Formats: sequence, structure tokens, C-alpha cells
Amino acid sequence: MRLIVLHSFEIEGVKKVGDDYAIDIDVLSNRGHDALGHLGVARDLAVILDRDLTLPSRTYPLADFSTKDYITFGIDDTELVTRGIMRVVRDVKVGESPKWLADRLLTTGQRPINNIVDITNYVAYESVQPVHAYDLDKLAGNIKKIIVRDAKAGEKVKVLKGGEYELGERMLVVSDESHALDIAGVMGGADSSVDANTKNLLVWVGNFDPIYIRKTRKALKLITDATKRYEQGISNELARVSMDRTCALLSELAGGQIAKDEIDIYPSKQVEAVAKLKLVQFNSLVGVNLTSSELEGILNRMKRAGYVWTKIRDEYQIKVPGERLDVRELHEIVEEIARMYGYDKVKSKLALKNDFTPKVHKGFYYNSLIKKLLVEQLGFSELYNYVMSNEGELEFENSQVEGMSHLRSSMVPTIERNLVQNIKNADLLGLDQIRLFELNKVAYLSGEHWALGIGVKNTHTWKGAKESVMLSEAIKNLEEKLGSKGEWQIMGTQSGAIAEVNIEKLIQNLSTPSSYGHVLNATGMSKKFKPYSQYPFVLRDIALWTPVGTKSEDVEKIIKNEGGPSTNSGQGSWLVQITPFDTFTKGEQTSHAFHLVFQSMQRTLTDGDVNAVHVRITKALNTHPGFSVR
Amino acid sequence: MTHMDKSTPRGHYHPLTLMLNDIVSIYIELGFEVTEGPIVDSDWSNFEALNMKYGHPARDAQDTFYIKNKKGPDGLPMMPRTQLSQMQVMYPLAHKPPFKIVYFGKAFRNENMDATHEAEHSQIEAMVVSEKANLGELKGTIEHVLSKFFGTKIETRLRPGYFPFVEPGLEVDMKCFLCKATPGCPICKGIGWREVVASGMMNPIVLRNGGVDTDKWQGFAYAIGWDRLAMFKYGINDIRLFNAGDLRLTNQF
Repeated sequence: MRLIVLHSFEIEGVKKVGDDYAIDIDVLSNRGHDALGHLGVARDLAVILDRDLTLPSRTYPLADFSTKDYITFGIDDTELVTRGIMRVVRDVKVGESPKWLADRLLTTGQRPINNIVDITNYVAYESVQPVHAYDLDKLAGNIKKIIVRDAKAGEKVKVLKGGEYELGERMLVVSDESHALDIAGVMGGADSSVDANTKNLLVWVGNFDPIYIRKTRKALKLITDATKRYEQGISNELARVSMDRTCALLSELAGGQIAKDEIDIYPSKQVEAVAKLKLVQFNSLVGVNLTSSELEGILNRMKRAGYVWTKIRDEYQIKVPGERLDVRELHEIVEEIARMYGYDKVKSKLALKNDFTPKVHKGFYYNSLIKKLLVEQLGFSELYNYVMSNEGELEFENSQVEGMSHLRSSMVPTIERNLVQNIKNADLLGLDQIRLFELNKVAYLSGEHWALGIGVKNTHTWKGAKESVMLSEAIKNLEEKLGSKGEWQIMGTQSGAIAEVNIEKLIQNLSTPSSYGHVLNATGMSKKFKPYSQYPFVLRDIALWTPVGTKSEDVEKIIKNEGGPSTNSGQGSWLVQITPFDTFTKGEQTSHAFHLVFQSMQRTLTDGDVNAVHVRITKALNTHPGFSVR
Repeated sequence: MTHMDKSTPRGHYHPLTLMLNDIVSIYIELGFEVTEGPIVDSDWSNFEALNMKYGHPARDAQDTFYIKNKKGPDGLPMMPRTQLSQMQVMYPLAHKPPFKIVYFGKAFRNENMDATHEAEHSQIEAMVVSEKANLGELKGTIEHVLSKFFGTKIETRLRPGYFPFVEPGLEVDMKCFLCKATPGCPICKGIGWREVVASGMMNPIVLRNGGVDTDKWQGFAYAIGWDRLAMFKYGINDIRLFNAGDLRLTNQF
């Protein structure tokens, strides 16, 4: 298993089924050609382990009749159907599959049906190539005229899994003289299927253009084992292999008489691929120093998967096995060899040459500087929001995500929403004013730009200036520190004061510095997040007299000690925020007042919960000499 | 009138900004140049030039948002980029090799969201084109960046992966630094390794689309999930918190 992970594929899971194990492999999408069949995975393992691979039998005795005694066969469009083989098998005995076959199907999550259907399903899982068997006697005519043709407009096919599909243009069917038998490459038809009384078969193996398959299964919303395989693109060469394997099993397990010949329409034969490689190229791309004998050792192991190599001067010419449609170019054969060599043998190097002089990116520099000024000098906090939105100039034609039908063209609606949401948590956050910003993209018909949106909203306890004044002060300050003026869109709303500016214009006349200086200094290296509660919080105030000079922090300490629900509840403290909001001294006494915010991670707190804590806090405070809660 | 005097409390950075500062600083130290591409991309630079030709499954509408009312120079609908790899052709078209660049931002996937799936996720991608860029350097660079970022030596392992714009294509797993493959570990789930980077040697088809002479130059590129890495750097359990516009997140940083 570790070998599969390191050399081939990720493993999703392993399940014990009966006495067997099912390994769920996440086959990479460029390996569907071969590895969606068990043999493909077995070939990888044979190379990795350098062990013999015993291929299943593909030989069978031939009867003396000919396929042509029973059928004629034609393909209308050989662009979409790249190969088709038909062969008649007579006198099969339909029955249950032998235990080994039924067990293997069960292990891979399939339901055994009868020996004929099971054999075709099994061969597809073994080799990737789907196979189908028709009941020959259910097809129309004496000599059956079989053709793969375009579906007629509105033509309907009853499929194996039940139900009827109406076909559209450019969908293909396998048809006899009377009607369409099935949806070619997608699913077999119901009225030509094998049943308990079937005697004679027409075995069909076809290959299709993968794009045709994908379009058809999408149009019909019909995903099958066959479409999953065909969509990946299957080598036309596999049709041969899979037909022979099917015939061998039909002969062995169902007593089938295999016709002495077949009809094979294969107009453009797949050209044998030869990948070329020099040792120096392999070493250069992978970053290793293999000798030619080491490389040849790997190539020899790869023979077990069907590769054949020769060396002409310093160039290796490597014949690629037919099913491996993914291996053609230099980089692809390098990958194949490197996988088999083992990526774990590639040593880390940090030897990047300094042959390149990087420039400072003006936009990133100023974006970072503006954030720094806003956060560190002007007291604004940064938010990230979705660039996608339910409004904007650019609209999607196919969004599947709720509320995300557009790209936003303005920051204003986002910032307004942020103010509305966050002001609700002002007490929890211990803030009497919300000051926030986002620096991100907006997009519209004529382009996109980096925009800054900022917003200010005061709570009822705020004693400073009005929101609009705060906002223009901040803008003025920011512009002064930057040394540039921008065209701001400023508005006062119910939710607060909001401004937006096009940053690219704002910085347009500023020069690009020669280094990033300190703008990237703020670090998150030692930070950790504490999950916040999804339940509402409760706000209570407490005010008390203390001896003159008593520090606010000392009072807070006493309060915090009593903040939990009870001493041993294990729920942690409910007191999540203490904010002093009023302190004054009168004669020999100092008055302190605090907002206390209570919230539980586990549930919504009741008045009773909070009152109990409040009483304990009051009691604790009053035991201190000179303290008196008002 | 001085509201913005010393009594003005300091604001807070969003955790993704702090993380970006930390990561980009490491790249700048290594001699990388920061660059950026547009979020609204054309069919050519988002797909075609990256070896995802017409009919490629990644182009499916279930993965890509297509914009109804904006077409690219090729007459095809534009889309918010589905990954940042546009720069693998855009930058070379405007600059001559050798180069080392880093670029970051949001990528868009037309999929429903939950605690681990984000339709608008943040990524950091890096690319090196030189005469001898290779898998050893790729591994070394990634290990250096991760080790500096986590403040402890990070080991990685390379596994076969597939992305149309790189070949060989590799997934990079980071050895868990929290536990020794303990069940329930928030980082590695007990496996001992955590997939953090998608990478590979640049496909020569892509380099040529960027106007690079592949007889002389070769390259590697890799993408780090900016938000995903932030999740286990800071212990954030829901990827959607980043884009939620919520000060309850920001003000902890």
C-alpha cells in the first residue's frame, strides 16, 4: 500500500470484504486509460516490486461457424467510434457465476447477476475496456444488420437499469434493422439483454471519442461504469485484449462456442508510440545523477509493464505499451521512469542561482503599506470578504453557489454588511466603535482594480466624534502619510460611514521604492486562534466604589476569578469580555464601572445563569475592605 | 481635534495578511519577485495555454463559473480564474528567463461550501524557470519555505499527482510536526503526513505557450493552499471563517 501511495496513487481507504480486501484507489485523471482496470495497477506494482505479472488467459477454442453467418456490421461515423468489434458466441449456458467470480464482483461493490453479464462486467474492471453482450436471438432479422449510427431526433431507448431515454442529435446508438438497441458507449438496452433463456450472444466491444461520451452522459444525466471509463479515453488496442478475455471466459465458464472470426472495424490503427530520452535529460529534470546502467535497470523493470527499449548512441528509444495514452513526450517518460525510480530518492536542494534581479511590485508594496497604516496607526481592523456577490456588473451564467451570482463591482455593499454584522458583536469584542476595512479586488465590464473599502460605526456608548468626521479624519491621515490624494466615494448610511477608493489610481503618481522595507513586518508566527461561540452573549454592567487609587486591573482580576458557571463545571469561564467604561474619583473613593460579557461555548445562557454569576461576583467584590458594589 | 492620537487603539490584521507577510518575506529573501495576474481571466490563459484544451474535464461548468456578459479576445466567455497558473504563461510572455516569481490571490470554484470546501479560496503559487530547475530544487525550495514558516524543520515527501500544466506532476506531503501519526491529530489525521502543495515540472507545452525556448530553459511551479495552510498554522477549523468579514476572527490576530 505504501508503495502504491509513493509510486502511483493516493489510497482513499481499505475495506475487508469476506476474505478479501478492497483497496479504494484514487486513480489520477491521466491514468484512467490503464489504471481504471486492475491490470493497470498490477502492472505498476510488477515494475515497482520487480516481480512477474501473470496475465489472465485470453485463449479459447474456435468453433467452425463465422460471425458473418449471423450478422453484418457497420459504423457510420468512425471519427466518434474509433473501433468496433462484433463476435458471435453460440450455445452458452446461462447460470450463476462460479464463486470466485461472484466474490470478486462483490468485493468491488458489484452485484452478481448471471455468468454472462458478470463476465462482461468483470472484464471491464480487469482491463478498463467495457464489453457488452446482446442476446443474439432478440435482434431483428435473419441475418442481423447491426449498425452504429446517429440517433434519430426523438428516438427512444429503454435501458438496462430501467427507464427510457429520449435521445438528441449527435448521440449514437447501436441499432438493428428495426430499432436502436442501446445508447452507444453509455448503457445497454433492455430489450436485447441477456436473460435466463439466452442461448446465443453477440459480443460487442467499441471505442469512442471521449468528448462524445462526456457530452452524451451530461445531456442524459446518466453516469455509468462505461462512461466513467470511456471518458478517460481508452486505447483502441484494448478492444482486442478485452474481446479475447471475454471469449476465453465465455468458453470456460459458460460453455460458449466462439465464432472462428469476428468483424473488426478499425480504420485508423493506433500508431505505436516511441518516447525518446537521453540520460542527461532525465538527470537534469529530476535533479539526480543516475548512471546509464542505473537508468537501464529501471527500464528493464518497466518491461514488466510492456515497455520495450533500445539505445541508439546516447538516446533511449522506449516503446510505450498501447494502453498508456498518457506517455508520449519527454516529460511524460521522465515522469514514468522517475515514479518507478522513486521520488523518495530525490534529494532536496536549495541551490537556486541568483541569476535574476527581482523588482519590487509597486501594487503589492502600496497595498501592504496602506494596510500597515490603517492597522497600526489609524486603528482600523482588516476583513476579507467574498469577491463574489449577489450584485455587480459581471454576472455568472452557471453559479451553483447560493448568493454568488456576480462579481462585485463596488466595495460599498460589502463594507455596509460588515458594519451591520460586526456592530452586533461590539460588546463581545470590547469595542465602543467599529472601524474596519477591506483591501481587495472589484471587477466590472471594462476591467478590475484593487479597491479599499473602509467603514466606521459607533456604538451608543461612544463618546468621540461623529462617524463621518472620524472617517474623513482617517482618510486625510492616510493620504498625508502616503503623500497622495485619491478620489473617494464617501457616504453616510444607517449602518455607518463608508468610503471606497481605487487604490491603483491613488498610488499612480507615487514612485516604486527599491525594497519592501518594513511593510511586511507584521507577523503571525506565534498566533493561535480560539474558536468563538455560536451562541448569543449577554451583557451586564457592574459599578462599584473602591478605596481611592485602586487600580482597574485589580478589580478585573477579582471579577475574572468568579466568571465561571460554578467552580467544578468544567465548562470554562462564561465571562468572555471585561471592558472598563467609566472611572472617576470622588473624595476618598474611586468608582469603577465595567461592561461584562457572558457567553457559553455549549449553549444559550439564561438570565438565571448570568444572575447567579453576577451575585457571586458582587459577593466576592464586597468582601474586599472598602469595596462596595452599587 | 485629535481622535487619531496615541489613545487610538491599534487595529488588527486579518490572519491571511499576516501569513502572507511571513511567506512572501521568505520568498523575497530567496530572490523571488512578487507579481500578480487578473482575477477575471480568458479561456486562453486559464485553460487553453495551460494544456487544458477544449473538452478537458476541468472546464466543466460544475467547476468553473462562466461570466455571461464578458467575452475574452478569443470570443469565449471569461471566468474568474480557477487557479493562479495563468502567470505560468502571462509572466514569461512579458519577461525573459531566467526568473523566480511568487504570486497569490483568490481562485474560484463553482462548488458548494462547507467547513473544508471554499468556492473562493486563497492560494500562493511560485514558479522558477532556469537552465537547470529540477525536482530536487523544487523539493528543497518547498521544504525551505515550509520550515521557515512553521519555525521548525519540515520534511516533505513527493507523490505522483496530476495537473495538466505540469509534468511530472506531484503532490507534496508535509511530515506532521505536531504528532507521530497520532489518531485524531488535527493536522495529519493520524496518517503522519499532510498534503499541502500541488506541484511539478512545468509542462513544455505551457512554457512554449509563454514563448520560452524549451531547448534551453526548464521550470517548476507549485501552489500552496494559503487558507488551508493558515488553518493548521493558526488552528482554524472552518475554512469559511476567512472570508466571513467577521472581527471575531480578525481581532484575535
